[in-house]
Amino acid sequence: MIDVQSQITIKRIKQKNRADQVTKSIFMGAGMLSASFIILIIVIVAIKGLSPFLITYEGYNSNIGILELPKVNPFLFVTANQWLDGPLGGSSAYGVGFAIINTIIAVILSIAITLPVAIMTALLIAKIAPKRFAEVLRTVVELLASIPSIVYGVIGLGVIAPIVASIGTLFGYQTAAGLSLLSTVFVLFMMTLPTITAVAETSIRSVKNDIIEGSLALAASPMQTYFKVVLTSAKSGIFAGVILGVGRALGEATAVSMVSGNAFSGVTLNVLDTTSTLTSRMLMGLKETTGIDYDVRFSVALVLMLVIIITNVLLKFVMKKVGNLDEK
Amino acid sequence: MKKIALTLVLVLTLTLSACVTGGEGNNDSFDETSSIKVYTRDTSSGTRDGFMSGIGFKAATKDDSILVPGFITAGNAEQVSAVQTDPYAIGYVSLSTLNTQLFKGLYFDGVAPTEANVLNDSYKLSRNFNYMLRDDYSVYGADAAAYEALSKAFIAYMGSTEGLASIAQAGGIVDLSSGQSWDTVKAQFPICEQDNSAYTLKIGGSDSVEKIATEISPDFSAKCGNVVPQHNHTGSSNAYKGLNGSNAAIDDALSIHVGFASREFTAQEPALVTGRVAVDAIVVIVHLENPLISITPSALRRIYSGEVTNWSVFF
Repeated sequence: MIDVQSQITIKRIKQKNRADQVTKSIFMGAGMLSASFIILIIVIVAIKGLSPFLITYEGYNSNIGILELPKVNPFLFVTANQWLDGPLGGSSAYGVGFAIINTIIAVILSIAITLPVAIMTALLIAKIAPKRFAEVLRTVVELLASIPSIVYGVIGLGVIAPIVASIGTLFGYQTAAGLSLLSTVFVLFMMTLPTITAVAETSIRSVKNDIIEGSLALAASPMQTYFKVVLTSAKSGIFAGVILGVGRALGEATAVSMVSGNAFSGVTLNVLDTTSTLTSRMLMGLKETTGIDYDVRFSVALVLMLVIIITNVLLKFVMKKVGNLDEK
Repeated sequence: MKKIALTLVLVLTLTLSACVTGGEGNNDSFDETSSIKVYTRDTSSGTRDGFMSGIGFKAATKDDSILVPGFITAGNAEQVSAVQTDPYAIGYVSLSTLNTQLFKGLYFDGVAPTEANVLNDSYKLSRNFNYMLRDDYSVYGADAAAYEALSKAFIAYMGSTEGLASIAQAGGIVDLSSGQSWDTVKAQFPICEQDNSAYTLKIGGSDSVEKIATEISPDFSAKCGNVVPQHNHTGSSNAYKGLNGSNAAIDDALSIHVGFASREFTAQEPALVTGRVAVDAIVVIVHLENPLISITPSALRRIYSGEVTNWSVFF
């Protein structure tokens, strides 16, 4: 009788093991599938993006006929001041140098405006406002973060561009119906504000209470405490928010392409001039492209990813240096 | 704190009043010393092709780098809104989108941009959409007579009242009074009384004419025995090639029965049956406040190449 009992137990254990194995392989399969999508995307972007540098394409020139386009020179690609030198489909002299610098300028300007506003809003929500008002404000910020970027683009085109156009006439400067670096900066400000505010608010709230109480006990006013003690302690958290905001600003395509004017060439520091970012250059003229004009957009994507990686590394480096002074 | 709040309110009020007065200021006067803001279509546009050829700047059809620095690339609708808001903008759109209440269409070489002037050939900033048929149907063997009749019936349909109305609907400029009704025309094409669903009518050539062609073909199919239309628009040069040239063979992927071109056929593209389908006109547009009435092709060429960058040259 004992034998039968143990036989049944052994059978049940084996069944459980088999069920475990099956579920394990299902989970593994799902994980593999999702990982394979990322790998697929990276592989496709890498292959198509490196093609203009490695293979020769066939081009067409109305004077000469079919001709072989030379390979794109990587150095010229990242330093050129205009998008394409020559007729479309008949030249491989693409360049994004001006777009890289314009993108960085746009992002720096937008972060410069967004950061103070985001920190103040976060302080307001976390410390200063009464509980119910703070809840309402927090919900508003979360809602702002979930608005699709095309809506921001349409608002930029319909509301912000005319305002910038009248700012232009106020200063006696001609704008292209308001499409300019300034409109781009405003749109990016609206888009990155909720991101940075949310993260800053979380990190401000997680500052240890005894630091605040200690500062107040030393007769510092609440405002002095917030600015000198709380913000300094929450520094690394706020920085993480800045990194997220910069990532979003660098990757924004639709909204920016609607308000920036998509300039064909030129680096500009004049906020009322049209500009173009890497992402808006990728979108421009996408509808009927084939051949090298299509593949070169993947090359721009590679450059964009490189810029994002370098920016992240730089920001993390600064964060480490700055964050050395505090215990977090 | 109060001082900061006060200064903020002051700055906001000033900006808002600037918006209001800035907007009104635009409507009051046109500063003739300001620079020209040049708008163009993008390099894949057929309208750009027609415009640049019409002003003698053909090299700029596909090449953005020889245009004036600072030009803005914008589609039809965006150019329309740009010339309404920016008094110093200049652009070009298709004649079918001209709305003289909202913006101004310039005379081209002294000729007003109207459909009548386009049809009587006095408004020159236009291009003809032409068709071509095969010379040799024998490659189709037993179906040769059928395909020849179907192709000619298609052309006849485009000249009928119903066909002309469809073409006008698709944006082409035609003389609506010149057609006869399809019922009259149909009598010459008994093939349309039969069931043609076994035949595939291949239509190709210019992609600028694609909109017109795809608009007409379902109507034609319904009126002519349900022949199956198949579209392959790859460019004006492929009209001759697919009919009577290097791609005319029956098994060639580019071979067609009816070919369209958004230009005139050259001496290297001879055929027995060719003609005009419709006209596509382009009009140069500016803001209503702009005192300019007429413009010449050479002036446009100088504006778009960057030789002339200031409105003062015209006044």
